[in-house]
Order: sequence, then C-alpha cells, then structure tokens
Amino acid sequence: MDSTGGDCAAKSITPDEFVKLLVRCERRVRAFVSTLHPHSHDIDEVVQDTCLVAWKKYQAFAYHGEQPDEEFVRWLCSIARFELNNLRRKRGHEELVFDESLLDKLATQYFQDATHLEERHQALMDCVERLRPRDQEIVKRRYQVGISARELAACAGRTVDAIYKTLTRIRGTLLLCIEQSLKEERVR
Amino acid sequence: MSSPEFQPDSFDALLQRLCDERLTPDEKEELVALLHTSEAARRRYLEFVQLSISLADWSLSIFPPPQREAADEEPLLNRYVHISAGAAEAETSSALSGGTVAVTSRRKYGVAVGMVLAATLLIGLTVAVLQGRFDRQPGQVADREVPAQPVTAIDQQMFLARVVEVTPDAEWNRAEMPREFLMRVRAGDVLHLERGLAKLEFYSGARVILHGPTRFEPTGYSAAFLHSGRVSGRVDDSDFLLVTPTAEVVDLGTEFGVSVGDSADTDVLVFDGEVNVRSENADPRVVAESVNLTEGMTIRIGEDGRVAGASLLGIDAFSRRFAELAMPSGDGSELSLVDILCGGSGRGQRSAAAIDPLTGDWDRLGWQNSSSPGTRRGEVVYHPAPWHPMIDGAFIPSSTGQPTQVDSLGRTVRLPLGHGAYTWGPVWARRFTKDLEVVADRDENDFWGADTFPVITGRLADSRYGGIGIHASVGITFNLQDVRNLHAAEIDSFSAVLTNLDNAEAHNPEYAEANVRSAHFFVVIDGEIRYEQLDFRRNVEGIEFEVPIESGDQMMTLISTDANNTNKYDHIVLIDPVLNLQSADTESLISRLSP
Repeated sequence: MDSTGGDCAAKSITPDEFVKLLVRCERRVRAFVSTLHPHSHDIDEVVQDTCLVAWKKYQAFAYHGEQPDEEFVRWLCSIARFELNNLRRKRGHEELVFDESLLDKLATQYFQDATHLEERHQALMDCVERLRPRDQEIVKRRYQVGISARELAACAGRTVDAIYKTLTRIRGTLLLCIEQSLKEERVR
Repeated sequence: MSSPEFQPDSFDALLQRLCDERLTPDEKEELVALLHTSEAARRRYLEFVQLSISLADWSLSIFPPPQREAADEEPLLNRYVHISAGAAEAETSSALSGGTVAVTSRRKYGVAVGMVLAATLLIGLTVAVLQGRFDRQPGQVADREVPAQPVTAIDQQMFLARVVEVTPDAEWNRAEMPREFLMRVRAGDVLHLERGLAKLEFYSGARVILHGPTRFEPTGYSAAFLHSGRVSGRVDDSDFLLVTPTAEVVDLGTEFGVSVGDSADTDVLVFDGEVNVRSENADPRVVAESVNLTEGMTIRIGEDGRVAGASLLGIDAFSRRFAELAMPSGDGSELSLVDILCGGSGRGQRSAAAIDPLTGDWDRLGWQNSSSPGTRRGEVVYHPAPWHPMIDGAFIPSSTGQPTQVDSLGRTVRLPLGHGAYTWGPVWARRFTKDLEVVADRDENDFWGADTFPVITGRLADSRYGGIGIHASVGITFNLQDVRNLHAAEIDSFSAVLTNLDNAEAHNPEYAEANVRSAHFFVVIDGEIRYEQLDFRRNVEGIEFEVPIESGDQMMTLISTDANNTNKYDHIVLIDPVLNLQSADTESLISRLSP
C-alpha cells in the first residue's frame, strides 16, 4: 500500500480512503453526469450505480500522483459514462438528446477544464456570500429545495416572469463576480 | 440548416432559459448545434452546469434541508456498505462509525440529493402547474377571493412584514387589524385601516403606506393583495408584486401609487422608476394587456379588466413620505432606545420590532411554533447586525463563566455562572398604543408565556416611550458612535427603569412561593460592566437607574442572565430606556466630534 517511490509506482487505496475520496469527489462526478445527461431525475440513479460499481471494483483502482483525487474522479467518470450509456439504451428517446459524438466532446471538455471549473466553484462560494440576503433566500429555495420557478412564484406571491427576471439577474451577478475574482487571482 | 454562430451574449441568454426550463424546441436544437460546433459554447455550458451544482452545494451546506422521512436520512455510503458483504463491509462500517466521516457523509448525501434537484434545473422537466391562481367566473369582479398560495409549513409561521408606525388619527377595523403583540403580519392577515396612515415594512425591504380606508393583505415575501383603498409603495432593491381585483402590478425597483375604487377599477401611478401593469380578467374574451410604465405615467384598469386610459387620480392623492412622528414628550435631549431598536432615529414613535439573538436579524418567527417553541438555544456566538442603523448585534451569553463576546470589535465580558445558554423569544421593543388594549385579551398574545401579557401591557401603558424585553439569557449591543454621528451630539448617560414582569403568582403560585426565580441584569460599556443588578426578582414598578457614558465609549450592551436558577419567569423589561444627550454649543460640539 505504501508508495515505493519512483514515477511509475502505482498506489492502491483502502476502504477508508475510498469512502473519503467518494465524499470529496462526488460533486464533480455529479457535475460530469449532469453535463452529459439530459434528464437529471436519472442523475441520482446514475451516480448511485456508479458508486456501487466503483465500490465493488475499488481494489482495481490505482493512482500515480501524490494525491489520488484527480485520477479517482477520472476513474469514476469513466464508470459513470458507462452507466449512462446503459441507462440511455434502456430509456430510448429523450427530450434533449446528446448523441455519442457530443457526449464525447462534452466529456473531453469537462476534463480539459477540470481545474478551471474547480477554481470557479471556489470563487462562487465567496461570491454567493456577497449576495443580498433576499437573493440568498431565493437561491436557497430554488437550489436547495429544488422547486421550479412557477412554484417559487406561487410561494412568493409573485409572477413567474418576475421570478425568472430575478433568477437571471442573480445568476448574471454571480457569473460576473466569478470572472472578477478569477481576474484578481491571476493578478496576484 | 446552417450551423448557428456562437455569440457569447445570446448563448448566455439561451443557457439562462435552459436553467429556467424555458427552452423552445428550436432553442434546444440551436443549443445542441452550438455545443457540437463550438468549444467556447461547450466551455460556457459547463460553467453554467457548475454554477447550478455549486449553488445546490452551497444551499445545503448553509441551510439545513427540510425534514425528511427517516428512511431518506440514511447516509448514501451506508447503503453501499449494507449491500456489500464480508470483511470489507465491517471495515467500512467502522470507518463510518467515526463521527467525522459519518457527519460528512450525511451532509454530502444531502448535497447529493440537492445537486440532483439542482441539476434538474438545467434540462427540460415537466413544469409544475400553478395552483390557486385567479379562477374567477366571467362577470365576477368585486369581492374577489385572494387565491390561496401554496406555502410550506415554515413559511406559514413566518412573518412577512410589520407595521412600523401609524399616524395619531389612525384607526383599525377591530376585526381586521394587526393582532400580534409586535404588529407583525403573516400571509393572509388582512389589514383594514379605516382612517389615517399606516406604514408597513416587508422584510424583503419593500415599504408600503396604507391610506385609510384601505384593506390590504400581504401574500408573500414581496407581494400583497390590495382589496380596496389606496397605497403608495417604495421598493429599492428587488421586485414587488401588488395584485388588485383587476390588475397585477410588478414594481421593478421604484416608487408608485395604486388605488382600487369602489367598483374595483385600479389606478396606477408611477412616481419614480418602472412598473409593469397587467390587466386581469377571467373572461377569456378579454385579452390580458400588459404595459410598462415609467416615471410620471399613469393608467386605469376598468372593473371589466380592460385598460381605460390614464388615471384620473393625481400624485397628490398619495402620501409618499411618512415623516417621523415626534416623541410625545421631552425636550429633544432624550433618544428612545425603543424607537432606535425599531429602526428609528430615537426621536420617533415607532411602535414595535424584534431582533433574533440567534441571527442578529429582524425576528420573523412566530413565538411558538414547530421551529421556535419559545426557547432559543444559543451557541455563545456574537451575531453582528450591520444592516441596522444603530444596533451592533445580539447574542446569547455563556452560562459557564467563559468570556462572552459582546460587540463586533471583539470585546468580551465574563458573566456569573448561569443555568443555560438559552433565552425565551426574541429581544423585543414595544411602545404602548391604544390598539394594545384591544388585543389584550387574545390568547395568542401570551407570547412570553406564563400569563405575562396583561402585566406587560399594563406596565407599558404606564410608560412614556415603551419598553425593551430581554428575557434571560440574552444580550443586545447598541453602537454609541453611530448614535453620536446621526445626531451630531455627545451622550451624557443611559437611563431606564429596570423591571421584572413575571406573573408567577398567577401562573404558578407554588413556584412563586418558593421564591427561587430571579435574574441578573448588566449594562456593559466596551466590555466593562458599569451597572449590574443581581438576583433581581419580580418588580413591576421597577428600579430607576442611570449609567454615565464617556465621550470615548463606543458600544453599550444590555445583558440579562438567569442567575443560575433556570430562566423561568425571568421576564426582564427595561421601561423608558433612553440615551440622554448633552446639550452643547456648536464650538464645543465640533471640538468633541473632531477626529
């Protein structure tokens, strides 16, 4: 289990390490699946199946870097891609279809941009704290509880159009803030 | 079909619509085509996916998720372990039994579920049917029922707005008036002002002035229904929806006036900014009209839901400003902390307000409900209130004798041992108003429990400026420098009448006879205890006291603790708490306030 040093020495993981890695990396795997799959009520199923398969095969996983995270994410994503293909074969036609060629392109882009996306995630965590409390409340309702804009409008006693405008504004504000934060990071 | 060209702005608009589940079939086709052909489009698409996933992650890490069924609570990883068998399972079980991993797993499970939900925002889903909208029969215009809005159990308990102040001639309809002790209102509470003016503030920031006679009903966080009468409104930072029997007015960050006449026709006037007005009519033969109005524009929607031209009302039909009412007595050298806590300058007559010591924010919870059953347990954390003009923050003090932070500058104080770090309800402020007599006999107002309501209302009736309730154990800090800056004056002292309004004798005579109930009270200035009353027992008349304030003093903290004998019956109320200003000539004032 211990590294014997050298560039090509492969290291495996213990069950404890697997659990901790899974907890750390699940968000990124879920983002990967969300990117590729048009119906995310299936995402939970795909991610669960991915984790199950990974658990059964964890002893086959080996990493070469100092930390296993990046290689673990790629490994999980390759399993997820396989599980997604199984699901699409079962489900047939879907509303927003990404063909195999587009899935390949998105998957490649995802790994190409992995570091960049992670930086954006970190910047967003800071940006969202700077939102006004009422905007944070709307984000919470929309993204934690997961209710639709129509349900949000009904709960708030507002029109759907007003909610859409507000959500667009909030997302726009956050995206600008992320860009600004990343620019400042590069200057430092 | 030729490939669409990637344009960043229009692609962003497409992705925004994707997030809101609003893509048309053509737009979906365009999206797929762009993702195929443009690396920039794929990159931007991934950034939007990441945004949604990350927002779900943040939402679940900051806010506890809603109650789930017991089965749903099982950590995701535990399920893997249960499915597997053998030694690996045992090893993993022991790993999961470690507190850190188990807690993380549970949180991540919540995150996982949340992200599933968040991810659903990115793709086409069946849109939930909007329930409870206007389903009026053709011909029905007047007496329209407000549609029931689907709200969560927690939302129903939370207050949406509060009555900040009323003019001296204001009269409420006895059946439809603010009934809660602190004049806070929930969705569905109809406010019928028969005459005078009443200023209402939504916790969303919107401010509305009711012009009697008016019937007005808050319906949402930033929404209301105007049954009849006139209101003026000001919304600075967000949208506000006002619905009438014949129109829907969306205030897009502006100032406006709306009137509903006897025949339910609606007049809208825009004083500043922009407003969208949409006519409402259930008659399918009448096409709903939508129009944007800007400053100076007016419109009338007739009782039939059709646009009927410009309003016949002028701007002078509305009061746009609610001038602070002067204090009823005094020579201007006193600043009322009741008014200050309510968001006033200290020289006004604001009626009521409450601060939650667990957040430092306005308190919006009901006194007794499933999420706030009176007792509020603290974690001995200081909660700043940067949004308030003159309150620095609030907290629940330590009961173990450890240093308790008492202001945002990090100063601490050690207090005597207490029984527990908890309080009862929020820190509240209330001025006596004639309406208090009307609600005095309602059970729902026994908010502080233990039959204290009649004692409190009786004592407030015998006060000039009202009282601040600080049930043990809790602390609230006022920023003296903010006070000086606002009033351009030095502060001489702080004075009040300290009372303990417990009613144990009526509520629990046996306990009262045992005479074990008491509380401690402290006035702390910049972390130094400058006044204290220990073992303070029931005293309705109260003890007058005064604490000198030096020119360099920055923060004043008022603290009550339970005197280490539980916080039962520790109903500390400061009657007529005021800051006494020094009178000064201009020269000495300038020299004192100079840096």
